[in-house]
Amino acid sequence: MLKITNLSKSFGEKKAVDDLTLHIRPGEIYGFIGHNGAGKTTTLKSIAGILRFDKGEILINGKSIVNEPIECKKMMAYIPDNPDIYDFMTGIQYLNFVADIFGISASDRQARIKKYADLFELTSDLAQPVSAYSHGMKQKLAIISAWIHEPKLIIMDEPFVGLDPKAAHLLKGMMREVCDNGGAIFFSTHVLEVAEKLCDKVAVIKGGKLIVSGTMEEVKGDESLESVFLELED
Amino acid sequence: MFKALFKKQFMEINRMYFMDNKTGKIRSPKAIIGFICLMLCIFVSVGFAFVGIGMALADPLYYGQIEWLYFAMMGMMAIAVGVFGSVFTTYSSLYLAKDNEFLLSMPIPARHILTVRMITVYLSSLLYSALVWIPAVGVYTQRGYMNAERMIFCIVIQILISAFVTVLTCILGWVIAAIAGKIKNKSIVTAIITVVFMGGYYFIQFRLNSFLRLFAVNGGEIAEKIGKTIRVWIYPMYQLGLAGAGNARAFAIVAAMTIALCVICYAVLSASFIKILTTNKGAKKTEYKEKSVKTASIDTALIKKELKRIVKSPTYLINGGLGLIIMPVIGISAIIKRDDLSAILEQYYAQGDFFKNAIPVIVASAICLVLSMNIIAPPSVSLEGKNIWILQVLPVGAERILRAKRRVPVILNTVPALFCAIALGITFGIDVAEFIAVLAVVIVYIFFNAAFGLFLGIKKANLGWTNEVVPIKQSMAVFIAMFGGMGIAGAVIAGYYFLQAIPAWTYLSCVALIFVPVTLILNRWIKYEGAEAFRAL
Repeated sequence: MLKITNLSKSFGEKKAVDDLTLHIRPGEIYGFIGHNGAGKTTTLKSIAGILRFDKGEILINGKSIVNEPIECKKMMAYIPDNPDIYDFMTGIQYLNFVADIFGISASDRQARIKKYADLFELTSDLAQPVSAYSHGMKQKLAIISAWIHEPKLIIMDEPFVGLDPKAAHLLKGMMREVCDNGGAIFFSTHVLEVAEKLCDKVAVIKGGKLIVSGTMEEVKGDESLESVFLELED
Repeated sequence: MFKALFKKQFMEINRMYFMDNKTGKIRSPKAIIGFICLMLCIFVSVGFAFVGIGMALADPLYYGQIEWLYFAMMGMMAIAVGVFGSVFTTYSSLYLAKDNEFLLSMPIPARHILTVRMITVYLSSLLYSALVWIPAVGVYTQRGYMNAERMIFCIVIQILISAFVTVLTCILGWVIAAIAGKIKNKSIVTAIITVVFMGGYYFIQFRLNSFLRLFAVNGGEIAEKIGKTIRVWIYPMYQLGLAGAGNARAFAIVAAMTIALCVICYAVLSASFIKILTTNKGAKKTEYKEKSVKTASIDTALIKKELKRIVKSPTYLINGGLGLIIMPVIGISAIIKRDDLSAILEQYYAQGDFFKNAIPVIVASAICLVLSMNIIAPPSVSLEGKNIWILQVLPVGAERILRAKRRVPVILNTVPALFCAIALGITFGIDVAEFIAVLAVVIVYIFFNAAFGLFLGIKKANLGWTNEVVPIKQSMAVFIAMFGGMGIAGAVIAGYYFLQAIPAWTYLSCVALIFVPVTLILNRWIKYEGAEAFRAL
């Protein structure tokens, strides 16, 4: 589903991502952990086609994000760490805008908006301007807009930040559902308990370099993910 | 703390003019000097308009021994221009800055935030009012009517006028903020208030021109009448005039009144500033009701998105769409005042053929000039700001996004511009061939204006703003697009002056033909290099 090979990206002298190679298969929830500034967001933005990278290759279902960005973007969704959404639109206007870009039919979008907005208890707020939304509401709106075209690959940067416990629980269920239907999810998080319980595989990045990756068992063995992470960081 | 706040405010302004958006570093000394020179050129060229007014008034009022009237009238103009120039930024600068919440969350007294913001408004007021006052003083000096005492008074009066303008704009901004806090559709109300204000300004300008014409014919009587009106109805302006003419007592009164007004304004604003910033109680929640959805194509969705951004932002709406209002107003006024205009034209026609022949060129150029005031495309790239990620992750090419941004001004400008052209064509009795040439220039210019604006918008893109006024009003792209467009419109008339042997329709057809390849080159640049630059933002 997602194949990252020898990805490198520098900002001036600083190497943000250094020769990173990862392979995420259909059905996998892949966690991406690392300290602040480790290179997680740079990697995720590179996959989403927001950031150009210096070296390496990113393939989504065999298509290169560099050579076929539109085809790749049709298959995936991206949720940033800070959901800055058009504040001149209402929630429903934003969802319709995204649905129009993805060419979602009226009936499909209505059904999906209703399903996810009801789930996140956002339906009554959809006519409100986004400027009136709280951070959590914007995060919910970003999640709904990401799910609206039923992507095969979802890239998320700290998706649980700002969500209430119920919404976080719902999101975990939705993530599992995507993967059960043959999709894949690659997300960064600092909440190691969530990563430990939710992820099939995990990758740890430090200073732009991949330190370790593999199934949860391979990475942590009998220890907790937190203790492994802290050891690796040292 | 205050120093840090002040520094932050100026960093924001400096960032626009003196920093390279891509590298985040200070521009080269050459670029900074070039920019300052450009600003000075514009300042001087705008100021020259007021030099003309000053020249018309200075001698008769000096010899008529009513010098105070000269300073009173120029002072009123300085105040009007100052308020007109600053009022649009005041509301958003004072109350809508994106870092308001951040600053309020810090241990900073609200009055300090207000003070720093007011200083920015003051500088804006100073800049605009100086456009009138400096030429006014300059003319008086050139005529040899100025002495040292008057000069000192006039310099201080400039400072006082700017302070008074700041008070007026702050009051207006406060009124808008107070209303906006209680209503749902803030942008429309703000836009209406602004348009009413602008209408008032243009009415005064129109009356001023009429006054100058009358004054040239019958100066003494008019001056006496105006002087009496000012003394009776706007006594502070009488005092201002006396102060400018060197009356120390009047100067003290003006200074005391201005300072008192500033203190009262500051006290009132600082008492309500935090309340206005933290109040959002008026807007009633709109309940979402599910209804049938209309799907749209990608291009339509992108265009609708751009239009929503314009409609929902009063700053963008007013600054970007000023000409959209002006063009129909010109057209309707021309039809209503057709007989008056014809009478005026006959007087000019009697002076020679040039004016008669040049009418189609003047009409085309005037419409191009107004179109140049519609700064819609230049800020559209920078306005993506922190939302840029949305367009970057959606499966839509950058060239398509830019095409939508280019189409929006074309869609908005076409009908008002054509209406204006038709109305003026009928009013001035332009013949068919000339009229077709006028339409050709107008239509081609609409496309050129959009492409040129977007080209500048991409080249000078800045996504790191905290207040939308920065990309809409204070960006180099907007600056060049507006004044460059005006310059081009002026060049169209100037060109005809030198080529008047050519029939107007031939000249205009050539102008249209020159615009076509330039527009095509710009469009091609936007499609390839522009799209590449947009992707790299």
